[in-house]
Amino acid sequence: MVNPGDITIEPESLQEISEAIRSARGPVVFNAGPALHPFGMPTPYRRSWMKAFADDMASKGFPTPPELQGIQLTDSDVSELADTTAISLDLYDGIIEHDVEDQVVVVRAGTSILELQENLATVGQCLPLPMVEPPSAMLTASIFGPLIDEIGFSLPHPLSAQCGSWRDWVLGMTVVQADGTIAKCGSKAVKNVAGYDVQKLMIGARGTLGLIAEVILKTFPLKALPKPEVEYAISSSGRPANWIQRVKPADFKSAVKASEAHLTAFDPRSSTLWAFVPPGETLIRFDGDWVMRSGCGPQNLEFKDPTVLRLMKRTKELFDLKGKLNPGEMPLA
Amino acid sequence: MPSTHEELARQLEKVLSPEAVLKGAAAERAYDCDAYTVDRNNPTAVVLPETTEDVAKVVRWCCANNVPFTARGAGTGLSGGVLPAMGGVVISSKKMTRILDIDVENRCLLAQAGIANKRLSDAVKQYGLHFAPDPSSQTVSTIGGNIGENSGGPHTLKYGVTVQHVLGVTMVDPSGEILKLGGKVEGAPGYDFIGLIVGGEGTLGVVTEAWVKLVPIPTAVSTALIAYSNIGDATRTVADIIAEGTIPAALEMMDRGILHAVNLAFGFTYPVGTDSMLLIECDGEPEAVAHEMEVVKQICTRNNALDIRIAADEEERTRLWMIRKKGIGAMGRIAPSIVTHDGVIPRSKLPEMLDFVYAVSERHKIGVANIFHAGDGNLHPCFYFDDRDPDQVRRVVEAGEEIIARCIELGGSVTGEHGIGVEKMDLMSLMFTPQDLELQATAKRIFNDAMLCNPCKVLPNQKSCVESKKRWRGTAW
Repeated sequence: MVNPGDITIEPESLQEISEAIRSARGPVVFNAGPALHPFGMPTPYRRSWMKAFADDMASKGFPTPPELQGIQLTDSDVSELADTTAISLDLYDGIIEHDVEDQVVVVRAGTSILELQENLATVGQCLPLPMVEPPSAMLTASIFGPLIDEIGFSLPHPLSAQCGSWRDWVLGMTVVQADGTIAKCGSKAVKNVAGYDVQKLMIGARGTLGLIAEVILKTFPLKALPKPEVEYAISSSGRPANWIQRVKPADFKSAVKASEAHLTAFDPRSSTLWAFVPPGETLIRFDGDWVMRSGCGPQNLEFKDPTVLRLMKRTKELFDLKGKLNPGEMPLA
Repeated sequence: MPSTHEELARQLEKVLSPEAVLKGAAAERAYDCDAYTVDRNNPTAVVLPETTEDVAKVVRWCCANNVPFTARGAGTGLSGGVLPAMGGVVISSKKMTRILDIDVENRCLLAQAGIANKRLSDAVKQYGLHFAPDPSSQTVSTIGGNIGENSGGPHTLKYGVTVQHVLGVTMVDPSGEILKLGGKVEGAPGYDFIGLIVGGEGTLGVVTEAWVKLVPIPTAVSTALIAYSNIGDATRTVADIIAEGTIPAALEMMDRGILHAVNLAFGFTYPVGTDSMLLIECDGEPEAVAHEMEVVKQICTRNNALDIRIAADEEERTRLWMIRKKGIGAMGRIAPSIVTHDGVIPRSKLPEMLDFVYAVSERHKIGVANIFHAGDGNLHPCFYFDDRDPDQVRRVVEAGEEIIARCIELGGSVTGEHGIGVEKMDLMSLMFTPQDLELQATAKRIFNDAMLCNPCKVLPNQKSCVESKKRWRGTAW
């Protein structure tokens, strides 16, 4: 049995990250460590952590939560894990450069959102993600994870409509590719159309096209941060959201009404709903909407449009022919 | 490839219809460049499709016959993005100007690629909505062209550039297949292809239709023109306004060269001792606008403004904007030719950069005037000269290269909104390493892995472009 903690490495420089990816013979996982992003896919690596966690709880006499019950690793899971290199960027963190007047910060992607926000706040700046307040937990469990995960997953947040999202704030990044090549895209200029916007492809790609090692971000003045218009609800279960759905503005009221019992929060500005939906169940879907789920296996993320799926597969092959990077994290089968 | 121009045109007439094909010397000449006129190359034929299916037919024919093709909107681009670099077919969107669907409830509309930007806003004005990106060319430039270039404009500081306003596209990919990407709901999971296609300079396929976002027309607008006796005070004002968290709808700067030109051309007057001016516009709800303008005024006064003029009505507002909108045009009065650059620098480097621009201009003995989107550090230094004098042309080119190189040294970009096209291809290597460029080439290959769809653009040193480049580089000189 492979202990997931044993295969995790913590590089401290770009070169070490590059070397780790280049020399890895099997899968490279870098949504790594026990604090896995909650909206990830049920990869063998993820399930091994969940199983380890469940076993640990059981050994201490705690009841096992429903989503951690009955996790079994197959033989192929075990052999895949034995070949896996898990990269945690926990030691590759901190601000590299902060041009306060230009409102631009260059930061290592292992930095947590919380740490970055605290640093930016000392000069009156921030990322327009809502600051800590209890209801935030109702949106997702980890808005304070490391940048690599937050940008990799690019979940909706309560100020999406007012302040944009990662694709608007990321001005550039340094990426380590599947063969270990270090390349950068974008620049520190807040307005830039030089070349192809590869950083946009990396945002939300869940690390399947390259490892985001450093990012150049636009910051916002704290005092000008608008007030979110998100409304919070207490779902019948009282549990944090495991379902995020965005619908057309015209469908928003119907969607809220239809899903009322399950909602944890909803934002009229971006027509986004957060809900807790028991695994196996589903809320009403609307034409043109999209959904991301957590804790319900392959249903966490599904692509139905054959054109999109074909283009995504082609993209994956071009960036990572051997399927080395975060296998299974983007469902392309 | 068909052996003669006539043969190629004849075959295209069969693919579409005789009326949909332009041929002959006049057509070739009319479509040999865009508003960047230094490099030119003739197309073999020009087609005028009316639908996505028409475009797909043409592209499939081009693929089957190994003929390059280049999509073209209004041809107002400033970097040679629609130059038919290897000849072949120019696919003009001139007849694709329909609005196909207006969805007021969901605040979006579907239009064909050839419609002029401004017409999108005109079509939904009655609902109190508009399409926010407003390149200066908006009365003629097309949404297809804006998507290709990821166009900006004076109001992008607050509202974002084109990519923030495109929800979905219909695109004929370089193999002739019709792709529909994106939709009415933003932020869908998966790889962000729209983010790559917008700004892809027409090299990733031919965008034929787009769903664009509509936003409410602000209920109040306040515009101020502020005079300064030195440019440092003006640039400090810009930095202070941004740091305050106030994001004006527009924050534009004009230097003495522009003021002089607008004075000569239109009799525009300004206070004695003025060295530079800022044009600041705040928009939104009336109360918020009044408050924002008050903050702006205080910051201007604190930074030694000579004069602050706030437009009392729409007529005065238009007059104040004239100096910004007609500034470059007014330069035409001063010299037969102008070249406008598009470098970007971090905002805080504006004073340093302007000193540099003036020094370069002096050293090369070429006149310069500066007009720019100060809020995003996007410069448009404008050199004026006589292009009949080869020595002046050489000096202008050298001066431009020095300025762009300095932008990169200061952490900026070679282009903020005009694109790379053919004009700035060789400058890409100043900004990006071979590894960086290879990463971009990989992204390009998702859609375009051959040399037929708008070849020889954006990325330097593409194979088989070196030879063709010798034909068109600097042909206007």
